[in-house]
Amino acid sequence: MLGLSAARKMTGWSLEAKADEQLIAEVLEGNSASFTELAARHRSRIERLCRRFFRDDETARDLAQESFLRAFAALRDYRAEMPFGGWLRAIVINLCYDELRKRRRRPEELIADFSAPEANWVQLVNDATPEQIVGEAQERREAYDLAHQLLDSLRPEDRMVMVMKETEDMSVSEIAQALGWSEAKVKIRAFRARQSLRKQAERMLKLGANAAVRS
Amino acid sequence: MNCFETRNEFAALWRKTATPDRRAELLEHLRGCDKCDHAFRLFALTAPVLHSDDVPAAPASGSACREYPFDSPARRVVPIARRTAVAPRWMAVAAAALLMLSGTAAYLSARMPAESLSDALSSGDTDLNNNSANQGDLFGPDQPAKVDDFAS
Repeated sequence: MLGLSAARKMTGWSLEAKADEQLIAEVLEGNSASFTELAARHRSRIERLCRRFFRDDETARDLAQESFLRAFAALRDYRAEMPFGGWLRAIVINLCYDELRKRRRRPEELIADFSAPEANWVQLVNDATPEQIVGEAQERREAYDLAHQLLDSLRPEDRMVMVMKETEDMSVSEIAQALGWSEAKVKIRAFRARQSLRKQAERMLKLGANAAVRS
Repeated sequence: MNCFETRNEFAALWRKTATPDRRAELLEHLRGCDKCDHAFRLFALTAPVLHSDDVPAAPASGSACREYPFDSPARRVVPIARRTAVAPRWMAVAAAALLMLSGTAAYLSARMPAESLSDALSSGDTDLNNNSANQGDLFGPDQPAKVDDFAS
């Protein structure tokens, strides 16, 4: 029981865990309408997680939908040892990982130049104060697009680890468990992801500075 | 606040979850530390995806064109830099095998006589038909007959 509560606390998906279990029991008894409620409860989190991997909103929605379908199909295998949210997240993560591998881009690919809004954003990141950067980022779609572009330059495995570690605050052992990897592999991937991302971000800042000089 | 603490607080600064005091300390440190300031700028490039919960709305169609003239040089989107072509691994293995084969052939041709045996037999200027000479060559110099041995 202590382990379960600790797991819920760690994953941050604890608020509706008890009610989730009731809904799951209802679904398993044949009331499939309860699954609609369950899905509605988790949809925004799942879509947000998918958007960390895919820039395109439609893809993110499709993957979220697909993960709910998979969850529904595998609901009988769900064990209450872990919160439903964590279980669902593992399904989404694996689905996104498969999709990333399918549409794998070459790691070295990075756009060599920017559109004007993107160039403005990089210039702002180069020149403005941290407060200004934080304030502006919330309003700018190009900041979001460029961030995706940078993350696209990572290998799928590195990106998975990066997102799970940074945005989901998952520990190395949780990531290893979710992806079926060893902890050593997760650590190596995390290290490589950071190195690679740093290199690409440096390059992007330089390109932005050069673009500013040219214009 | 030291550099390590500062960098650990980047996410809180980005999400605006840091307390005002903490935030002020953080910004103070960033103003005085070039390395952390640079690290924050790098962080800011990926934070819109990794540390923001809301996705900013896409600009309405045409608004970007009004804001940035279409003929602006910065608007040009240069094609994505392609990776330089890398030969597949099997090509390297094939090249190595070819190199080994050609080396072996060169070595063997250097060791083998230039003329074949039949060419040598058909030509008359060789000693191959001269049995005595050949015998001498093959089994050592002929011993002269010792006449004195028969005289008695």
